[in-house]
Amino acid sequence: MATEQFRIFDFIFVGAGISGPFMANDLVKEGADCLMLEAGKAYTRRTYPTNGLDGTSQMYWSGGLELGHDAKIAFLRPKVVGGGSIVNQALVDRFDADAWDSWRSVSKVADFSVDKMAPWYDRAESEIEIQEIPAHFRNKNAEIFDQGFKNLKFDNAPLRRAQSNCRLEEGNCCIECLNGCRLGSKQSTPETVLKTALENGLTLVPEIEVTHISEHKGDIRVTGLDPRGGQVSYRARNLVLGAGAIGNARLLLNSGFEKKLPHIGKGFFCHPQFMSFGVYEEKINSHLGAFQAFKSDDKGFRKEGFKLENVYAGPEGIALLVPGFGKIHHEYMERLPHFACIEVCTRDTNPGQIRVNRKGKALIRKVQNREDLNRYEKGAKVIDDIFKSTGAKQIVHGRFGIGLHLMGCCAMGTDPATSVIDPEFKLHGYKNIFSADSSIFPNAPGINPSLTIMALSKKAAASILRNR
Amino acid sequence: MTDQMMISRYFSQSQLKGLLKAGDIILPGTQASPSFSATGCIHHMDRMAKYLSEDDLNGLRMVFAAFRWMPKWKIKLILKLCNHSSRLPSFMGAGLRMLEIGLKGAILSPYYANLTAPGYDGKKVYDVIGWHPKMVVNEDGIPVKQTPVNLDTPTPEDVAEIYQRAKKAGPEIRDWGVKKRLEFISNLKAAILANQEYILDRLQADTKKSRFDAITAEIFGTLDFLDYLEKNAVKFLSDRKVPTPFALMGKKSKVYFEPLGTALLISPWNYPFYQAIVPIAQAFVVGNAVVFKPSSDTPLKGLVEALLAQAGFLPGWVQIVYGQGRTIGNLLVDGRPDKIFLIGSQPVGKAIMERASQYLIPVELELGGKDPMVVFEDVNIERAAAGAIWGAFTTTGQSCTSVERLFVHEEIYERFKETLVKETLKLVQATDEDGNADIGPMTTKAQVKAIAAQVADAKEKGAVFLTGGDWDGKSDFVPPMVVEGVTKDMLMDQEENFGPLLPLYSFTSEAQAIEMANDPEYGLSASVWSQDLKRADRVARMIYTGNVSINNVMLTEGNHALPFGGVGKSGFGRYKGEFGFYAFANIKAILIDQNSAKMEANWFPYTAKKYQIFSDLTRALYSPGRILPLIRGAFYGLKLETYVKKLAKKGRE
Repeated sequence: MATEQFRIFDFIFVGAGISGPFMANDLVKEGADCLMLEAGKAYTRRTYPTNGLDGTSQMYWSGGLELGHDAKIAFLRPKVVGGGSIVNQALVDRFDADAWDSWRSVSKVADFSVDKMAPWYDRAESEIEIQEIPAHFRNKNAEIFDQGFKNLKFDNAPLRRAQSNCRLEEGNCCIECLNGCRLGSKQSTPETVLKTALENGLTLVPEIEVTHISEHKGDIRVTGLDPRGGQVSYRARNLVLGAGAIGNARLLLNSGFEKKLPHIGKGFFCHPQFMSFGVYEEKINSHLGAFQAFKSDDKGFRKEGFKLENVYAGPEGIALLVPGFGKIHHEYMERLPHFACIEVCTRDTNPGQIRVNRKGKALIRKVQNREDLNRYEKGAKVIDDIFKSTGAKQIVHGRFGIGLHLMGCCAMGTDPATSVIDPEFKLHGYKNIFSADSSIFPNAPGINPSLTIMALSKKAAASILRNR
Repeated sequence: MTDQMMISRYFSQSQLKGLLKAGDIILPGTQASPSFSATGCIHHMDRMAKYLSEDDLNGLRMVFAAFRWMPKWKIKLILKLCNHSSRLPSFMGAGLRMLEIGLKGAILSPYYANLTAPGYDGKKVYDVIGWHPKMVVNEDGIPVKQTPVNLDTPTPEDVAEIYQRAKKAGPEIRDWGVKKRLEFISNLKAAILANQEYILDRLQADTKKSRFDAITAEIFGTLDFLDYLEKNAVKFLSDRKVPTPFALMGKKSKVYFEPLGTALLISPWNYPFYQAIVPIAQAFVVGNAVVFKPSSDTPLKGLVEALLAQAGFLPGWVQIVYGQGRTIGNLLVDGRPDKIFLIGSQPVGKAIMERASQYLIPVELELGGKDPMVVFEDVNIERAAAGAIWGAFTTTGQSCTSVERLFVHEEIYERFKETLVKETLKLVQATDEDGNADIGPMTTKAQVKAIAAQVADAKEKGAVFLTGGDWDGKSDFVPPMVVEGVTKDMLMDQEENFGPLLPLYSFTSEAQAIEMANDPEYGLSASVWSQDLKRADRVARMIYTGNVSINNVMLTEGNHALPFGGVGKSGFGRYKGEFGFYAFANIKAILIDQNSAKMEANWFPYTAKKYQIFSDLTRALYSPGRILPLIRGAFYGLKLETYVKKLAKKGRE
């Protein structure tokens, strides 16, 4: 470690989630000397936690859930080498025309559209394997989703997932992969681009929480907390921020950048998601097999600003969402095998904001306005109809929303007064600070962000290499 | 599960009790589901707490602490309010939602992660909720299980793994801090109390000793020691300030007490429970990981592990290794513990010390004794005789501090002998179930043989057996034997007998008593009996030994504030009490100075002028007198300091 502290790197990456490894992979290939710092731990297939308690407490910030000021939405912010790609459900979707149109209109950056991004999506997809769950491996929860859509004449589509070989024929259950995929099938960055980046000379130091960045004679100095106590600092010619919406905002705010860039922390979006459960007479066993095979693909839903997902969660998550306590709680949970689950994911319009307190801790302020609530209610109504049309005896709405697509706070744009990142992925006014992760989203796209983060990172890396 | 079994590095007992209460309100259990407290998942709270932010953790602590004394109906009311938080004004609703999510998260997560207390055999939560997802991992992805280690007669590879585990456990134990470590000790106490009868059964099965011997020495004694640790360990392990002399003015001196790392403890067969728990507990409380080897004659297999597990100890903290000392003793030393503590015989002590010397591992040895009891003419004969009988025959004489030589003043010799014989004959010998027997049979065959040899030798050389002379030399039921006419050439006079043999001698004067009592080899303990306490004290000081009881016998061990250990070939080092507490500690010296521009007088450069001032200072400070040396010392000290400053600025001229 000591030697790294005296070295001047070409690039330091803050965060080893999705964006950082995708960019670093392309940069080290061209000979750049890169250091990647990550607050979370590095796990391997052999060391992923095997129960929900260890999974949530070890792989997320704050030991699991973070709450906003009104505690109506719980935020899940991964803290692990591989970030979201370790703990997500590996859905990979391109943004549609609607998403890019709104991106352009908010950011005033002309460079983003379905066509212009297509080559970057192609390149991102070439780094990972993408599969659909074959029809005969869909579990009963997926069948209910599909049947409900058919009954109500809505359109759905099979999901594209970043996975290589789940060997579902052996009876594997995807739910087990939410704390890291022990099969190595999920195409997380440590299984893909991070692996090749490390082979090509990237230096990765996990368990360093970066707390401060500063410019020093044209170089960037990065200070972090060493888990063994004390501080460590590193130097580089360039810095890449890949700590996500909250992480990047917090770091920039704590480092005093808001004086020049007042928009830092503003424009926070999170696609608030709400799970609903249909309780059936027969056993559904939603946790078995490939539990997530479908997504809604309905033009009407898109217009209304929500989508429905065929999902499930671990028992400790569901236990938190069902109402009541005592005997009532037990009654719900004892019927768990009879639960089917559908989630409404809303495209939020009302931006939230990240601030930091005196201790430097991130404070989340995120309110769902009437429009956002309408979107949720419309989606929840469709879910109720699906459950009813497929014979559910009871419907349970989750007690609170979950925010896990954490986006914005360092929005891309042309005006430093209303944005943070310029069209070339640089921090406004800085030649050597970059970001291409979900923090640069100018608004909520309404589509799962991970594939787009990969594509943007590829584009940013190419832009850096071009200008070198 | 009982309350005292919970230990957490992050929550106090009171907070945990509050959590348990709230846990049972949220998860009271049904016919199908176990309750929160029944599963014992509370044992796993730290797995979550470790990763919480300090703010969240403090919030939970506050809530748990509040629940500790809050009536259940109030907690239920709060939870009901939480249920309706969306209907409340936003500022109240937010607080309640945070409370609900925090509290439920803390309670539901360990419960629904299917975690239970060690030894839980009730319904598993995963079975109740039908949660059985499958994951067939390929060879590459098989999560490595801990390599199973054979603790029974381990191979060299096993031993390496055992020490590896201990090494890993060391920092963990140390991190708990002494107060939290003592919570484990409290739990252990509770576990021993709760299982007392079972422990006694196991002890009697292995040692055959009488139940009363077992309860007094092994249960009562052990609990008393743990109690002593609870009351004193924090004080003993607290950092201490020590004075800093005048010459080092402006600096601070402190002593820290830290664990050594891994302690190897080897115990004998005579008190297998006490000699297991006491050294284990002491080494652990100081913060060490422990490898413990009980005697292969009385292994009490699985008992100590079970009690430790019940008290919340993790398997790596204290590992108990079984096997013959001669086969695994060297291996265990080769594993390079940081300290070896052995209670046992001379030959074993020698062998272990020799092996340990190769690695320069510090050893502490508590070996045998040939303990004298000196009875003067002014004693209460009944009491002294009863004391002699108990001291010689308790645990059938198989104690390292049992009376092995009884010296009685000639003036009362005959009367004393008469009482002694009469009372000895009344002893009841059996492995009883109800506490009605005085002594049991012998524990090991080997010891029966050793005693037979001593008895045959003594008979052949003309000793007179006042009791027990009819023993056949084979039966385990070696009767208590009071023997007269034992001479220097007899084995019984020279060797430790470790059985119910009591040679009786008479003496004429205090000087002769001291001479006779002072064994050339051993020096573990002794007792002196006299009405004249001054005389008794005089004699106690003159006996070359580690422990002396006056007007009592084997009683220094009864007070755990006293150190224990021998001199001569009875071993060295002390354990127990404050002086013995540090047997497993690294006593670390700390000197603190300020960061400044100041240079020290004793550092380079050396110059002739500095030499002169320093020499003046030395003379001034240490010349006779009280005030004057101080004043002159201050003068030269100042002069030296001024000169050093000048030197620092201008360098050597």
